[in-house]
Amino acid sequence: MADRRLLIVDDDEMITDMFRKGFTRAGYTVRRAASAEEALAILDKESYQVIFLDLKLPAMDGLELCRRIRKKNFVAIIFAVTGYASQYEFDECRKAGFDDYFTKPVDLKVLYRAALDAFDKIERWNK
Amino acid sequence: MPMGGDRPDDTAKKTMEKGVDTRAHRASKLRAISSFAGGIANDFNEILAVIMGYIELTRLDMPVNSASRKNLDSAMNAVERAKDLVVDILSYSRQHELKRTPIKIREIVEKSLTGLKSSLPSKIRINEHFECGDCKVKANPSQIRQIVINLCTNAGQAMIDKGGVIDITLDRLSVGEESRDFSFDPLPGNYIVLKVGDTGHGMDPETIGKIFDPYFSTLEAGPCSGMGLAMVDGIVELCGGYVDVESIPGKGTTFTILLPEV
Repeated sequence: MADRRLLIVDDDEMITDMFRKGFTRAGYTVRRAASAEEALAILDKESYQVIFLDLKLPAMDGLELCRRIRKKNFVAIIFAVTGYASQYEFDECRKAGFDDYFTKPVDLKVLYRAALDAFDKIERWNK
Repeated sequence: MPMGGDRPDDTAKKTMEKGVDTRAHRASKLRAISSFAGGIANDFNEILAVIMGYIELTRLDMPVNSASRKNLDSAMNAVERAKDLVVDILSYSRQHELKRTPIKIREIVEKSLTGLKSSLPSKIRINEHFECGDCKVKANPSQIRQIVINLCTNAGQAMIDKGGVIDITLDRLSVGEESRDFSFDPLPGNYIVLKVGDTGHGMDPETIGKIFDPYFSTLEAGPCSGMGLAMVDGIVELCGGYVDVESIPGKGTTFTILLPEV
């Protein structure tokens, strides 16, 4: 299995800490960002093909962040993860470029499956 | 116990002033509660995500069949219940955002019952009496489904031990100036009447006085949010209708909902 690196963007440290522990245990390398701006700065220097974004972020929200990432990266698989499902519609997320949408609280096993499928796709596309 | 909302007709304005004030006050109170509850529910989802994640991570470290793992399974069940409660609260708080259009109510009621029948125990029977064919009300289909499912679920709960019958009727009604058909005074106009009756344990007057309050439940235990009838009340209010309840302890309960026909 190639190096499977994930970027997780969420302003709640408790959430990113829990996701990092979970995904690390599942065999992934996790990079965290606490804001859209920090995520864009990371993506300027490093490449991530599987990304989990919180939608409610300080300053730039997850929808705008996804649009910006999509301008440079059509291939990355980007997931929305939000506890504010009532404020963000699914079709709005699809339009912004998200591949899928999960509502917090979400079972970690569901996210593991999503990440596994995403990396399998990326590998297949790169062959 | 009268509840209600918009006016289908202005002719009875003077006689209804007091009632309208009461309804306006109640509507305002419900809006405030729903806005507050919606905000809390969203934040609560974030917190639940952390709790759920750590339970899952810790659980994986425990030996299968160990007492600790079983305890964590119980904790996870509690989180799942909290998650369902948040879904109910958010659903309640979003009712006013849903688009309402003229819909054929009978179709929606029939579809709602199809799914419901399979979830009720076999000792509970549903009798349907639908008199209106193509009659329409202005609502969102999900709101009508919510009304039917919540009322029937409550009826089922009231008969869970002994079984019984849920009677669902749908009919048209024209209300005149001097109507004495109800314990409340609906404004004159044409209505669709949806009745859901059960032969369950019934309720005393004190309980009836509280059943539409958010978070009120007659169940002492079990997965009940106490939001079901509050949602019914809120939806009927938004649709400009009325909801009434009659109950006899030991005999059963009937909810009557009037929705303006369009």
